[in-house]
Amino acid sequence: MLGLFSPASLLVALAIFVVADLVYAVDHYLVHHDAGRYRTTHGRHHRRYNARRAGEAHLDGYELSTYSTASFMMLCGGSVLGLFTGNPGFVLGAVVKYLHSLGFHLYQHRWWSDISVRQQGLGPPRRRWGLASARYHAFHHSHPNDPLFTYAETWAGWDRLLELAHPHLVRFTADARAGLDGDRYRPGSGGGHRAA
Amino acid sequence: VNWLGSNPRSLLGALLGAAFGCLVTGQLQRLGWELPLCVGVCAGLGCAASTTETNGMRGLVVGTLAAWAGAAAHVVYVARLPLWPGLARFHDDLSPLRLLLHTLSILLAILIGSASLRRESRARIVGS
Repeated sequence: MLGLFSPASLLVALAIFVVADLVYAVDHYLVHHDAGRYRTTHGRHHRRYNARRAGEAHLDGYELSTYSTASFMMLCGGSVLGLFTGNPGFVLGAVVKYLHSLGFHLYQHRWWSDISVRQQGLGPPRRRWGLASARYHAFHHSHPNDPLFTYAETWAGWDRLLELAHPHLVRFTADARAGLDGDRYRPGSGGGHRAA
Repeated sequence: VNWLGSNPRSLLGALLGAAFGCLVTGQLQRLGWELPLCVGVCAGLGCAASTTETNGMRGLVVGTLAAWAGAAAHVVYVARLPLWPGLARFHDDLSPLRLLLHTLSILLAILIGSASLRRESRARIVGS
C-alpha cells in the first residue's frame, strides 16, 4: 500500500477530484434539462436561495444528505480502485472532493441573506476557462436557466466545454426525450435570466 | 436526494448475502476451488430478494460491498492473513485471472443488486 501523501497518491487524488467535478457539472447540467427531476429535487435549491434567508440554515438536512450520499457513491468507487491498486489516493480524492463541496457550498452562500440572491442583482461572470470562484457559481443560483453555464464548482472550463457540447448533448436529455423544449437555454429562446 | 438508491432493508439483505457468499467461498476453497464470484452473486441476490424496487445506484453500492467482501474472503481463506493487514496487501495477490474473477464478481453484484426478485417491483427514481 502506497503512503497516503506519496506523489502517486496525491496525483491520483487530484485526478479523482477533477473527475468528480466533471461528474457533478454534467449531472447539474442534466438535472436542469429534466423538468421532472428538477421539479422534485434540484429546483428546491434555487427556490430556497431566491427567497429571503429569514434565519434558515446555510446547509440544511436535505442538502447535507445530497452532498453526503453523492460523495459516498464516489467513495465507493474510489475505495474499490484503492483496494485493487493499493493506492489510497482514490479514497483521498473522494474525501477531499466532499470537503470541497461542503466548503464551497457554505462560502458561496454568504451572499444569501435577508436580501435574496436574485434581488442582489449579481451581474453575469466573465465566460472564463480558469477556476470557478464562489461568486461565479453564485450567479447560477439567481439565474438557473442562463445560457451562460455556471454549473462547475472547481474548473469553469467544464462549463465552456458543456456550452460547446450543448447543441449535441441536449438531444439526449430527459426533456428532449419527453418532447419538451430541451433547448430552452438557447439565447433568444426566452430561457436567459429566467426565474427558477 | 438519496443517491444511494437503497433502503436499510435492501442493504441488510446485501450484507447478509455477502456474508453467506464468503462462507460458500471458504467451503469451495477447501475443495480447491477459488471462486470469488459466489460473493458477488450472493450479495446481489440478498439485496434483490429483500426489495421491491430496482435501482442502478443501489447496484453500485452492492458492487462495492461485494468487492470488499470478496477481498476479505480471499485474505481469510486463501492468503490466510489477519484481515486488515491482508486487505492492505490484497492488490499484491491479484494475478490477472484473480483480477478477472473479482471484477466479474463485482459486475454480477451490480447487475443483480440493481434488480428486484419481487414480481411487483418498480423503478426507484432518484429524489423520490
